[in-house]
Amino acid sequence: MRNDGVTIKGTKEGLLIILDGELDFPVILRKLEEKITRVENFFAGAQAILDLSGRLVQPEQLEQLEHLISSQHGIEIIRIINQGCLDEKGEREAMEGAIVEDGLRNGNGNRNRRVTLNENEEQLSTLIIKRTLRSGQRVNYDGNVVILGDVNPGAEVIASGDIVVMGAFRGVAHAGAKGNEKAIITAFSLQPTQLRIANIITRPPDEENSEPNQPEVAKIKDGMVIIESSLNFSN
Amino acid sequence: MGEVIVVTSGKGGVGKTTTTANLGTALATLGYKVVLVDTDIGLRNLDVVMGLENRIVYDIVDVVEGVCKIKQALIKDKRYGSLYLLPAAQTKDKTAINSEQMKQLCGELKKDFDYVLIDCPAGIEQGFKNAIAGADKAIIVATPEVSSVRDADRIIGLLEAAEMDSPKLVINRLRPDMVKRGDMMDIDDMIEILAIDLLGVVPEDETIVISTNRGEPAVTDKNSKAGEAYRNIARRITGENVPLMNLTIENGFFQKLKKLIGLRDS
Repeated sequence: MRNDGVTIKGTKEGLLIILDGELDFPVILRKLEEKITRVENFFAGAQAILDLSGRLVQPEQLEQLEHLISSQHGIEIIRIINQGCLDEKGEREAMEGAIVEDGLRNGNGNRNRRVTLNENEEQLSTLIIKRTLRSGQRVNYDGNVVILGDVNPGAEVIASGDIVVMGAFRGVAHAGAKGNEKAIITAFSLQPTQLRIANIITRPPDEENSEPNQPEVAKIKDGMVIIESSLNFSN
Repeated sequence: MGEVIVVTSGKGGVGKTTTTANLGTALATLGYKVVLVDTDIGLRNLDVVMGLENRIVYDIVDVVEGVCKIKQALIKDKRYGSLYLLPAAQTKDKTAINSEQMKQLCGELKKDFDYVLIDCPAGIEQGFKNAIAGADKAIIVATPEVSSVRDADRIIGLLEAAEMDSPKLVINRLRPDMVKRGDMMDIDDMIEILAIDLLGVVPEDETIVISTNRGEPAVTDKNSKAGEAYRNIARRITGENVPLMNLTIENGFFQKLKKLIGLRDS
């Protein structure tokens, strides 16, 4: 398939509009307009995911796109994704993002596509705590939390992202508190009172449990929180 | 309509939480529907003693703030189906709820349960005021020490001021051998000062430490002396007439005998 800058595909969720990441923005905008106008009314009322293919767009450019797609042609944008995008500072690959069906990942040239960034979600920042959390202390952070110390029983850590404890974890942890089921909880010694990931709550069995002698990771698999050695961990 | 009973002492460490856990469990084994309410916000323990800490999702503060319904916060005991726990919050403090909210909460719980046992925090500040706000009756826990008796007396005065019915006394951690040697206050000394009805005497017993650490109340242990004492107290709460335990009867009998001999001598 020749790449003319704009690709429109059907997916389970609706249309997927892929805009080439290299072409100049005005060119892309014009090509997009041509393409949608050609099939006037055909897409009206449809839902679409807009893929910017790694382009760093300015807010006003985004507005132009939305205006063209939604206001002029009646297509509802349900999500904007930006595959293989660098974050604002260009420091690292985008980590969190929307799920794009596998077949689409390789659908556009040879671009090395990584995990996608959902621009509707903010980039998660990380809070580092350099002490032990004791009973009654509670950390609630919109992002990832790293604790350089222990978390004792009666302490609570709530994060919208991942929770990493460089020590023993004996308290209550809630990772992915805003519903991210891909969030993980990991500790050098994971002996939690209770673990929560997204909206799933688990507790250790009542029988006496031996202390783990290796770092472990808790994550959701098939709708259940499972704990495995972090040596075998794969996301 | 059930009964709300607050377990209080003034002094810390005399066994309020242990007493609440054991009496609640004992009442549940007698077939009553019981809820234990931990009002020690910020220093919660009852969940640990009951072995239910890892089941806590919502707590009493969530209930009064309307974050969840009462039923969502109630934790069913792992051993007895008619026993429930309403845990305290650990990351807040006593001012997170007020007396009025507590009264309402007790009123609601009373509708569904035969007994509502309230574990009161130590002290006489907001936490104590909350704990007694919705209570119909009070159990005072005191150990045979002057400081404990002094604080218990203060508490009884405060309860009288709050116009609560005459509270009942549970003497905890009594050591008959020390009493016999005259090294510990005896039951009569304590009752003479406090001038309230005695509900029961619980001997010092190492099975309490073991059961507390395990998260299993001692009343579930048939061989525990303290557990037996708590089972008796629970029966007295339900209105049954149960004589004081062997241990103390022996003691009382011995003293009575001495007195008799003394009388004869004089």
